[in-house]
Amino acid sequence: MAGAAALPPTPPAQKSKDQQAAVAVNAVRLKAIGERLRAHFRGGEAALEPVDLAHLVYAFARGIDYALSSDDVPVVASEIPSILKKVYLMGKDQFLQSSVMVLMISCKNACSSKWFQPTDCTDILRMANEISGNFCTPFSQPNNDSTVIQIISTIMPRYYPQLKFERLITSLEAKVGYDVLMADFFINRNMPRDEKINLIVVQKENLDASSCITNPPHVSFLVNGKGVDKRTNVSMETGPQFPTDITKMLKYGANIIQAVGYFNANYIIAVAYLNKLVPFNAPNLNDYAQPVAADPPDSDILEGPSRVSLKCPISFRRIETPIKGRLCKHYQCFDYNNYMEMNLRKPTWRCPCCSTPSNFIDLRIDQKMAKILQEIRDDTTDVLVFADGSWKAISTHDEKSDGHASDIIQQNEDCMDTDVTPADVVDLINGDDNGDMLMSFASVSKDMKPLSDTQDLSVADYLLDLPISTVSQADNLYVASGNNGRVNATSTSGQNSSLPSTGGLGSSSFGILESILPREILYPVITDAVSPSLDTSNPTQHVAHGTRPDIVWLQPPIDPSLGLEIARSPIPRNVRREPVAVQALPVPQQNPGPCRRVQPNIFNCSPIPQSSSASTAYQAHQVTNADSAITAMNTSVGSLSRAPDSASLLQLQSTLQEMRNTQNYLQGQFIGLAAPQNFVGTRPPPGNPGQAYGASPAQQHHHIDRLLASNLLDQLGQAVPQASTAPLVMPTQPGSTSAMGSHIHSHLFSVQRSQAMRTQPTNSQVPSPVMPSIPSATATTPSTPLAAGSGDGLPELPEDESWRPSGRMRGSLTGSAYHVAIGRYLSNSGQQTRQSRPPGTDARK
Amino acid sequence: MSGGIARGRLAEERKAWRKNHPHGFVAKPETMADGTVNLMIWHCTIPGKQGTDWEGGCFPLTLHFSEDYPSKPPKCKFPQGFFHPNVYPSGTVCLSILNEDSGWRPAITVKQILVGIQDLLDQPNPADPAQTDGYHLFIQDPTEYKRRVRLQAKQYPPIV
Repeated sequence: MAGAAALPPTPPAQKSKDQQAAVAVNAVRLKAIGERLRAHFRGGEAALEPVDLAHLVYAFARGIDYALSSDDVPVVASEIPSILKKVYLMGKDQFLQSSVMVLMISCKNACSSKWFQPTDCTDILRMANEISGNFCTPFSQPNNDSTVIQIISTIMPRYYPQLKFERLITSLEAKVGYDVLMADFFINRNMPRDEKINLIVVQKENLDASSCITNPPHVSFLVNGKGVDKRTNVSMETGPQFPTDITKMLKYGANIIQAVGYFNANYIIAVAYLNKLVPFNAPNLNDYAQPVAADPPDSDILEGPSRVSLKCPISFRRIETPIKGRLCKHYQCFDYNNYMEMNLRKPTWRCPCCSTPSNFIDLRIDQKMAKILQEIRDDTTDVLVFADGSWKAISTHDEKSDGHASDIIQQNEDCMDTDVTPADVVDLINGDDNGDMLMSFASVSKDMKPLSDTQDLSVADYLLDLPISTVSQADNLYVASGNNGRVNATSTSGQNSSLPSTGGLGSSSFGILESILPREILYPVITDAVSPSLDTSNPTQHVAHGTRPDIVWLQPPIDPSLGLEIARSPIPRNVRREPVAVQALPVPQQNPGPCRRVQPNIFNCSPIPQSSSASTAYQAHQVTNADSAITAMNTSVGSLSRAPDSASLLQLQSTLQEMRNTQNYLQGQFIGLAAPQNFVGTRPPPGNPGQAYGASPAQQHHHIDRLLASNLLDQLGQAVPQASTAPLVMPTQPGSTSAMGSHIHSHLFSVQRSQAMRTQPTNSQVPSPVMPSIPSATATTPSTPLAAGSGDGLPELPEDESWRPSGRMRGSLTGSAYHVAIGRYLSNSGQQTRQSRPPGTDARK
Repeated sequence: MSGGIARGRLAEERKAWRKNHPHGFVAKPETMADGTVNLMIWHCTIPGKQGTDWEGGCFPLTLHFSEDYPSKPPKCKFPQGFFHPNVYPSGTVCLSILNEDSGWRPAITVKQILVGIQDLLDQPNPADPAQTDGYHLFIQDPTEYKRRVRLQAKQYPPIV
């Protein structure tokens, strides 16, 4: 019996003698089975056990199928309706139900082959429908094949451009909700052998996104009782799918497709002939046109240059045919062949850069990029594209120096690892000192200072790559600073008033950043931050300058748990802080820097928009440090919070430089006193600790200790030799130095404490270099560290006031090396901003 | 058809990494016993971020790339039983950017993945827990959670 089921795949065109014989045998078999069934219904001895009866019914159905698929009308055909009516009555028996159903489906197909009288046909179809009600949700309405065909012909060119829709075999429509659907369809033996029968499942809504060709997640599809690969709950493939070739699961004759489960949307399910288009000819792609922004562009926002990679983000190899989606807004292109290859493998059809749905008919050639690719050397990997459409290659030299810098990291690491003896510590400090000297005075750009280079590189790395889209208070601050820079750049005043509102935007802050820099979304322009060692500390310092108003505004509330300095009352603390904090602060009134300097910062910091949830609180930790004495440093860190650790060290650079400047050039002058006073009002009231700052105090403290340890270590390293070897230092210098010493001291304990359990080598070193330094630092002042920390603030206040913004200090920042570097990266955008520079700035250099 | 695209991309990733990578991180394709390199599996090390409880640990991570890369993200696995709210007991990292259906984009680099996971270490996402142990401690007993994290950091000392 089972042998009859195996239908040998014979060529359909001409019936061989064998097949004729087989058809004849099949007819005889059918007749015999019909006789046997009738005997069973007569009852008595001939009555069969249910199992045998079921087998007999299956065999009968197979016989009918075989005859049907061979276009044969067996002699028994006329008797079938009467047999069928009796079989139908058995359908109430659960055990026999499925066999009856199978027979009904076969007979349904026989009806359409005109085996029976029309009246019998009607009866059979009615019975078949009734029985099928036991197996699936009753058909609510007949399928509208035209809807199905319309949907299929819509999606085919979009998501399956290499497939051709031939004709529909059967279809089902599924509504939202639990459903058990079934459709039977007949495969004729004459079916062309090269055609493939596919199962296509499409969500009826939202045909614009490739998610419409995703299998409904909780629905399993079965063909002839077998699960369809990747479309059942045991082997479900997530994401968009190709039509499933089910040809091998089918047999000639009647077949059943079933869909069981919960439909989360309305779907069409179709069984259809599909053909592969071989060869697949790429159509002519339309040219890309930059989408016009819906909102009018903000006149306060200037678009800077964008760094665009000539490498395909899919393969990381050079783009050959630069395309992007019709809706993509970024400059970055990807390669046509790579994109097609990827999507002919899995039809995701999303831009690899921005995930915007970009199906086949949405692809556009970016002629501008094609031109750039033609004109530019093969070894150039990146170009800068400016707002006006001009572009510039980024020389490979920069790339090489990236590599160089990373080598420096290694060297530096080695140094760090071995620098455990006091002697080495001295060396380290001297080395730092020299590096700093070079930067400050000679402006020689061959600066191998390990710390600055290392950290600088890291900053670039992180800024470029960190997948950050999280929103935190720190982000607000960060955005605020970016905004502020922008405000400066456009020569608008009143940063202060703009700040709180910006900060208050909360969760949308990232969006703000994006809207500031719509074009930098993908590949932020890294300017100085990745440049060779030229001006490693400068960008950071500039950031500090540019965001100075924020710094004050950002001053966190007092946290009583933070130790000595924090325990002081807020106002004296503010006053006292200035000498130290001011070191990192720029001059408020005549600050040409921000416009120019913050811009690169913004570019650097505009991250790749990515929906990573990891990375938030880290920034918060930075910014929320409540330590007064190093507020400037920490807030600067906040402004660079994408790369906190490195930023802190960078900030250290600027701090050191400022300190050096003050000592060498501006003794007795305190910069920026006015600024803090002006902005005191904008600080969060001390009574609201933690109000706007998300991180927990403990974490902040912990983290900041780490930052401080490294910051202060170097600071101290700078300060100590200076203070002790320069007897001409004005009284204020020992004061600030000792203040620093005290800060270090008070922090040292917590640092040590918090590091007690750590094992990383660099960590363990941190206390050791500091320890020997402290005595020398404190030795320059008559007071104990503790007394100095709490007592030297007030005396310094007058000195604070005598400080005024100094061109010299700035001059050291805008050395010729800096100009060279900034000029190289911002030659175009810089023009806009340079106009706002006071004329005297350049002369001051 | 496109086994080439996965391997080609991974070769480029390798190049880019050798040229420049974040400090403290390690990422290299697996080397087979016969000396050939299997680009489809990378052995990486993620340093715990400084200033966090994870500091001092160098956590081994294995990236398993499929032939569908970069259509599909690599599977990122810590050692089995790794303590973190968003790491499955099998060690597989649960992170949006590693989820094909949410955050993954083919343009995401190996470097971004590793830095993203480093971020995740100290900033677990309690909304999407993957293990009960880490999740419950994180929610209910922060002190013990910290202790466990520090303990784990000690378990994975840097290889110097």
